[in-house]
Amino acid sequence: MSEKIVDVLIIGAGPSGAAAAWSLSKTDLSIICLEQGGRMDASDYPSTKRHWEFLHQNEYHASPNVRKLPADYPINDKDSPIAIANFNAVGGGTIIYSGHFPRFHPSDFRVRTLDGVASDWPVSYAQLEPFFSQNDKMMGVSGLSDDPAYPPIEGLLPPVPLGRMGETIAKGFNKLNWHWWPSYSAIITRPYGGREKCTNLGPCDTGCAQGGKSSVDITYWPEALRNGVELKTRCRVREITVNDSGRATGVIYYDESGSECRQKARIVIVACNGVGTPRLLLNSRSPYFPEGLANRSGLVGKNLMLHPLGFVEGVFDEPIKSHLGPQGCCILSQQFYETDTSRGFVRGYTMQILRGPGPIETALSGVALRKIPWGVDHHRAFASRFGRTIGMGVIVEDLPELHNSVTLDSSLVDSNGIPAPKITYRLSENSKKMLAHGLSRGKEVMQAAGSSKVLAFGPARNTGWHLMGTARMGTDPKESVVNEWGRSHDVSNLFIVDSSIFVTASGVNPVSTMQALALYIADRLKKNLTNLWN
Amino acid sequence: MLKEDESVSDNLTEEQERTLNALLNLIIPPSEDGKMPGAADVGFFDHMDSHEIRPWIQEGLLHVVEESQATYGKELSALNGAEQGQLIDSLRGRFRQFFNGLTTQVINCYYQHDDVLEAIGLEARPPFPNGYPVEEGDLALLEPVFLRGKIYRD
Repeated sequence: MSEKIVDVLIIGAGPSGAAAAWSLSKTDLSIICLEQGGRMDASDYPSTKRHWEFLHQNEYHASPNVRKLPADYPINDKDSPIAIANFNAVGGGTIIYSGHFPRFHPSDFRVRTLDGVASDWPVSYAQLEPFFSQNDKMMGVSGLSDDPAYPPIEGLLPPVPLGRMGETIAKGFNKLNWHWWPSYSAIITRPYGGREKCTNLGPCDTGCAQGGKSSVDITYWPEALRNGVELKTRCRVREITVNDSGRATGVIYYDESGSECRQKARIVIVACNGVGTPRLLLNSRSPYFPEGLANRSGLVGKNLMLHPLGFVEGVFDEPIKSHLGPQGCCILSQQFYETDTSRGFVRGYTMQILRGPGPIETALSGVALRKIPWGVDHHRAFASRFGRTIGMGVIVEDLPELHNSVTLDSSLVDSNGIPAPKITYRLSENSKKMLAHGLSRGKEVMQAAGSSKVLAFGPARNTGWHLMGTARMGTDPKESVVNEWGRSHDVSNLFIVDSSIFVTASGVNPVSTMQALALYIADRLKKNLTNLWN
Repeated sequence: MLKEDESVSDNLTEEQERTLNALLNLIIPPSEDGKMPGAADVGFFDHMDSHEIRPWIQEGLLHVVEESQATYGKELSALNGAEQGQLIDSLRGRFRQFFNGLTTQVINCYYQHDDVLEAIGLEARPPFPNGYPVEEGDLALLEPVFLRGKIYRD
């Protein structure tokens, strides 16, 4: 049991926890971060091994229910068409994300004002812009400025290579006069910050052995540690404790040996993602908070948003070497991003172009889709697809709905006996219409690019990467869990910095915005330190 | 139903081995031009042992052996191509989990074998450290996108 009281305790060493830790490390505050996973060893990543594709299906699978590693906790997602994806380690989800790194748009923060749905955010793009830039600088981001879909973005490294595949699909977009742009990628295309540039290993979503992908274990954490932050790994927090005044006093956690430990703190910052954060708060019940910590609004765990993802695949007659290049980063289109009510839905989506898979996944998906048979025709069918497919993820903006939620499962527990999260999720009619529109437009652009065969379906199941909205921010304590700078309405020394505080989901990958928000909150916290001790 | 004297043991019987080899080449046979090996020639037995998947594969093989003997009085490897196809077609629906699992394992083994990778134009090596060259692409294709102007809302 630790009697030492730290100034700041951060729970979770993923993208938002790392950004907050780094920002706060530039003060004299004593800071500890507890992370339930361990440190990754890049020399052991799948891309260093011959059977890297096999590992992708197992130890590096996106679902914790498949991986079942000691750091993982089970998630009951049977009542959701979208399975939850995450990764538990120093670096969190950035270890196996694809690095697709677009920002939210100015309009994403003003959905009520502009489109009459959901709620406006209590912060604006303009307020976050300096923190977007700071985050880009810390992470190392490539792309191209002057994108007509965004306000000016400066300081980007040159974009990841389009490859023959990118050129092919770009010509399809041009034929239709639709927007496209090189992806904003948390991948360095030039040596940067002591890291070597991307060499196109391919499977970014199994960890980057080269270090070209900007995961926070190699960006924020080294500097935060040098600045004195203490990072304790394989420590799983069970609950946040409170005193008689209803202020957070620290946490109870289990160390690697399973021993119950305590850590006292003056300020507690939660950074456990849109599923882990409500799980922790709901598990932190006390006489002061019988429905879960910081949950007087009843909104902890509500309004879960997951970005239903449609998948479109085009097969091309000519080889386009689509199996080469950073798997999730090539180009994106935001032609249908901003609201146009004539489409029959509000808000919009991003088309994210994906590289083709490796040989094993090509064969497995081809068999599953009945495109590659057993028998003598196997080789011809395989050759007609390998290196000749272009994928597209249609990232649909789902709006907050109370019934989409994270609750505690009544029987499922993790290896420490802590109740596991249960996911309940349904696609709204608006999401279904948007998804159908995206799938249809995706097929259209594949055909315009010359694809001879196109398939489209959605929502794809194992794509629940983007976990948002379950402890949302706002100025009204009855309608939100944290205030406009991430401070709990109910517990004055409790902060949340991950994407659970998102008010709406936008139609882009959330990490860039989540980290900008974490830096913004840390900055506000530093400016208000004198108030926080009272 | 399995007969009482049939059970999963530590090793495959010779008949089970012959049946598995026949199955492997039914899933992925050698290519007609000889460039691609069949799945029976890429070390599947070693793959099976290293991934500890022998028990359920052996259990599935018991059904195949039994059905082949019951239908044709011969083991799978002794049947002609048409007979093999008919037999397996009839079994795939009944033992879907086994055949799906076997297909996945065969593909995992086959498409990481040196001979196969080289035959499909890849180097037989892990991606790291050498990586791969990818053409930069022509960013001049962006000209019309840029010229259409701003599409975001403030």
